[in-house]
Amino acid sequence: MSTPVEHPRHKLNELVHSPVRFSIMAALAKAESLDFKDLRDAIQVSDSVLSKQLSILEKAEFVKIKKSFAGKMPRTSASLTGTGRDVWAAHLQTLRDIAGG
Amino acid sequence: MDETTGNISAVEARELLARADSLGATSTNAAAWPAAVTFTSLAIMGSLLMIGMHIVLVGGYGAALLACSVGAWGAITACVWPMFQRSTKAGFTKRFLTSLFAYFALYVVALVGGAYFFPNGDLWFYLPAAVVLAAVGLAAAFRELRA
Repeated sequence: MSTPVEHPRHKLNELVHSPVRFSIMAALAKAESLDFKDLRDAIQVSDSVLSKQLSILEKAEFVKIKKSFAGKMPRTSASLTGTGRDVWAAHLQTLRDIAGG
Repeated sequence: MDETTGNISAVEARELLARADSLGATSTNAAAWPAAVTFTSLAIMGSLLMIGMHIVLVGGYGAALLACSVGAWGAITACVWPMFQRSTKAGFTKRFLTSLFAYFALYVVALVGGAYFFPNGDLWFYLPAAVVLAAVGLAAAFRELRA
């Protein structure tokens, strides 16, 4: 008796699949780095929501946060780590598999 | 789409893929312009300078000083300006640096070649040099915009 083929949805990354985190990963995937405000405007969420979701992604080592100062103004930017890009690519591939099937 | 990954349909997957594409494009929409402006400025500066070299060399006024000071100004501006650019497209650093090095390498070659082989400010050298510098600068600008 052959074992049933696992549905592709089981390969989706639960951490990335959440709506806001999905949007963050999508926006960062096409960028080398994004300013916090540009990222916030692109995905249309509040500062606090973005900050919280970025922290979760940073903890998972999918996102790297860089904080610096331009004069006295604090500047925060975010970028995907190598792991983050791999996870995102795998996630998109799984979505393509589901979309194709 | 819910927090768990269960029960995602093919239609939802297609919608998510489309959304990912759209978000990726809109997030970097404005990111290319500062670099494009930098290279456009370099294109204008370099080509104008080549014409200036012709005029200065024919007139005999400190051409080398003019070329070096404008070149240094351009290089410093081009290096400092992107430091204030926080949002960049994927692969920006490599693209920007290769374009910048290509432009300034050509600039130095044009200056040294012109000063050595055409010390009298031959227009037949400086006019094509102006065109080539403008073309390389504009190509770098379009390269960033289309990336």
